[in-house]
Amino acid sequence: MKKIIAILLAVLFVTAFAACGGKTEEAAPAPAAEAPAEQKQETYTSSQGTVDGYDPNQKTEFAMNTSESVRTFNIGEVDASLFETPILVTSFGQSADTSMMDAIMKRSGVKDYAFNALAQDTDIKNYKTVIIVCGASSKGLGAAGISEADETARAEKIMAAIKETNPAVIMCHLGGSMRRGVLSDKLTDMVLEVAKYMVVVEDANFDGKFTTVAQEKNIPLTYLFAIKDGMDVFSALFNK
Amino acid sequence: MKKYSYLWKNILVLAVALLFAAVAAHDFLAMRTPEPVAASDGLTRVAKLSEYCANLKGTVGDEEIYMFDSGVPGGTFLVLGGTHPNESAGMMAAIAMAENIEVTAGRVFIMPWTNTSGFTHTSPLDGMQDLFTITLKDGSTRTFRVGNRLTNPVDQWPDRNYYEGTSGRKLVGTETAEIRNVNRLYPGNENGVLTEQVCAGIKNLIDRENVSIVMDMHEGSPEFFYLDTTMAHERALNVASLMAMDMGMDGLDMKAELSGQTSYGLSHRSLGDNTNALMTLMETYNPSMGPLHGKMDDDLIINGNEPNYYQAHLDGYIYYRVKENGIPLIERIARHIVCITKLKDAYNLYYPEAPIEFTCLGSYDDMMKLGLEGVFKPVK
Amino acid sequence: MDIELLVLLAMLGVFLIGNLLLKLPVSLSMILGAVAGALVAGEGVPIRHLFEGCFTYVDTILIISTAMLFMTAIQRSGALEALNALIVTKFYKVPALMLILLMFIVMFPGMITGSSTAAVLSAGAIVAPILLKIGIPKARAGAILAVGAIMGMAAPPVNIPAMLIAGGVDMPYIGFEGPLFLITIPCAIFTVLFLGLKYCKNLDIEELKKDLDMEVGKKYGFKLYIPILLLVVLLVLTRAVPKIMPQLGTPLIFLLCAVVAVFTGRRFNAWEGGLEAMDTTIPVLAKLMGVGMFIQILTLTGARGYIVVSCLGWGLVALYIAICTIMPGFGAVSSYGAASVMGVPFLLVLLDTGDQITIAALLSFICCLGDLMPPTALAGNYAAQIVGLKYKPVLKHCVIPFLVCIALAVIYLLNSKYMGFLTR
Repeated sequence: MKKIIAILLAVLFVTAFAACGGKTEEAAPAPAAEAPAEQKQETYTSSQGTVDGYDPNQKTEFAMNTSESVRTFNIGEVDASLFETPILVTSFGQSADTSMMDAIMKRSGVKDYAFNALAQDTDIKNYKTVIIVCGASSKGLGAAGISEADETARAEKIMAAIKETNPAVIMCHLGGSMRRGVLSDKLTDMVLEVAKYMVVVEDANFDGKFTTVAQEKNIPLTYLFAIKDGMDVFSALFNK
Repeated sequence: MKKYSYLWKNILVLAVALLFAAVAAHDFLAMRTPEPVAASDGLTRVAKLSEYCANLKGTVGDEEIYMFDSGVPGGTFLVLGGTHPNESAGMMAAIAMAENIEVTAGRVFIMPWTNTSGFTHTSPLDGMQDLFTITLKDGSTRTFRVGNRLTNPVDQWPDRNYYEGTSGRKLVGTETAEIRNVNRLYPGNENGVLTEQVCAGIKNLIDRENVSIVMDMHEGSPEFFYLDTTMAHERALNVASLMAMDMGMDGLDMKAELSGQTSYGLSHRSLGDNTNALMTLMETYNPSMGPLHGKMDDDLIINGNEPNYYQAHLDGYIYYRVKENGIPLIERIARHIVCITKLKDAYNLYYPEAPIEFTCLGSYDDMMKLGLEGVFKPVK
Repeated sequence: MDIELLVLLAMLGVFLIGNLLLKLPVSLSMILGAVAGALVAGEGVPIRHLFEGCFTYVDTILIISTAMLFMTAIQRSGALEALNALIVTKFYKVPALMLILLMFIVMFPGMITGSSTAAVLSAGAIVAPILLKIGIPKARAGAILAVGAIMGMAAPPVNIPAMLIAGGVDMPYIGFEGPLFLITIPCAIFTVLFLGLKYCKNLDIEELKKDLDMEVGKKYGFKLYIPILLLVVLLVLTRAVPKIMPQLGTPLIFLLCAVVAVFTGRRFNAWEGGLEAMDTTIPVLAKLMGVGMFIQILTLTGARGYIVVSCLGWGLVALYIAICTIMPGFGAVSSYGAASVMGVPFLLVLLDTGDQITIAALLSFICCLGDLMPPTALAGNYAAQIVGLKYKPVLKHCVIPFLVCIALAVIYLLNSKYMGFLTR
């Protein structure tokens, strides 16, 4: 009896494991968002961010305009003359992307700019161009020692100051799909009300949000494949 | 008579067990010899960690610190390798730096084996290599160790059911074993367990030598979310972001990420909070660390090629962009050294008053051309 | 054929031959399987790896051995028998409740040692005569003990397969209590009522009392229960107020309570009791060492990675079927092995389908059920021995509870995303 059980077990194991070797192609529909590998590779970007509220397994596939070879993609024409110095770089949401924007400006050789992630509404009047890097990060807010409500209030005050003194506003979204979420989108939408130009790492456009806004509001938009591609864009914009 | 044969049976079992233990002991004892380092001419001193934490004197934790002082006043860069000994590229990059660095301003300190005790054993159930060997240009060979990410229980055991570190990190449940993890116990405790003493030694080193910037080199399994990412304390984020941008310009993927507020005990959080140094930590891809790896051998360690992970990536289970032919050790070492070089450049831009200048093995492409056989020097 | 598959087949083949044909103990068969795997993979006999695998579970081994010493002590001191008597005399009028409480007694040693063998051999041996006396047929009583022991093994605080699975994916063994109780308690209650309730009508308490030791409870009174209370107090205190309470370590706590038990009840020879306890435990400990070596070689040779990657390609439906069949089936080799070899990969695949801790807990529960699987069927074989039968008739009565357990586990698995609140 025991021998028969043993043989049966052995057969079970063999068939089970042999099956795993060969059956990969005809596998049943597997977890959400399975897609051909090549396509998936294209949609990766080196966007950076935190995993706060973002599930990397829930990938959304969409056709991107940028790729490893096409580094930037424009919708609409940018009028560079709109953006004069001095420039302020600040953050809505305190994500680490803001610091990358500082790096872009430094390496682009832009001279007359100030970097202050926690700029106040009273600072706005001193600048002709304001670059707002949108993207909320709980780690960033924690590091700055402020709450979501504090940050939203600061953003609202800055928006009021902008509407008063009317500097040219550039909305930057550099964090990709990871930096999309309720608070991030809320802060982004505030800036989009007045933005004259958008620079977005395209990975964040999985739901077509930015393309739609660009077309509806007629705001020029530049998609980046990766953050570093912002260097060429801002260098061309400010080093006129 | 029966009792007699019972006795012999017991003696026989014991003898077999002892023989088994003796053979294994031979292998484990071999892991207690540190790799020789053919330090570059710029070496000014090899300090011991016990100079900064006296309780380490005579323990396995009394490790070497390779000090390169240019004699020109400036800042100090501390490079930590081997915090987790199973993350090979960390120790290898540290040794490669110690053998090739030329410092022209400020100082560079290199610690290749931050958790020395962890290098003396391997991780159970992981089937890890204990040693691997590379062949150099002149045909000579060099052997390196792959250890365990935790301190050897022979040096620190048992793990307590509950422990609260000086950072406020509480170790309970299965995290209790992390009381043997250097990167959970910062800023350490001079009178604590061995691992904490090592942490305290490093903190004191940073304080007393007025270290300006620190890179803690790590690797992660392919499942890990922060590969090719530099974690930076908030004070170091601007420097790390600039470095990431510069690496991107060279075609090397790199992200800068803010250290979590509650990442208590980790170097980038707790040394950043408790010292004046700019704390950074970088991770590269290491397929030998993940549960999907195939046969464990020198090839997996050195060539970093694991088809299982490439397949899992294609199947959508691994977010990291696994390359079809893997990521060899030389590429990961080059990535670490380039990262440190670019960090230094970014630091100099933000802190020109205390500059650090060094050259080490040139660019990423230079190192890839040299290969492992050219990056390491022959030793006697 | 892939070399990894060949290695896997060699390891399983040699194990089965050793265990079934040569009648070697499970532990030795696993070691032989491990050596065979290493040889096939061209690794020679990797003594360092075998040694390392052997020592993997040294902390667990200490806990199990001391827990067994404690169980033997409270069994010999009369505490368990007194507890039985107490339950029967207080609750005989409500047989369903009585059966459930008896089931909990069977589970108790499994809960604290994480070993179904410990549960069957200690509490099982004491509860068995009562079940038989109530009128439950031998085979059904055996099945109650076997399933009860497995529920105890799976129930918190100690569930070794859950620890193995959690360890395999770097997840702390925290928050498992909720989901594990939610699956083991209903399954235990169902089993004992399904198998026993219909024989519990019209119980004659005087008849029952003849078989119960009514004296020991009266003679020593409350004192008898001190070791059990002390154990609970120490285990709770060291976790609840760790800053005030010195960290004694679980093995030391068990040892202390075992020593206390020597003085709080019936006198017994502590040395003999200790020897007997170790005698019972050694096969379990040896199994842990064997499993360690087996898995170490699986990992070394790449066979483990091969299994995982193969599973990843299966798709969810096939995966759930495998979880219900192959994972408990692997229990025929070892339920610990099932947890480490199959549980970890299955968890990795299911991670994004719901709450991770709940999924890990449920997978560990299914692994535990493997202890019912012939030929090793640790829990089943010992339970059969206690009621004086061969394993086969006992096994027959385990089938329905087994299927119910699996079904409930799968229902929970499919809904794990709603169960996250249990793990906080």
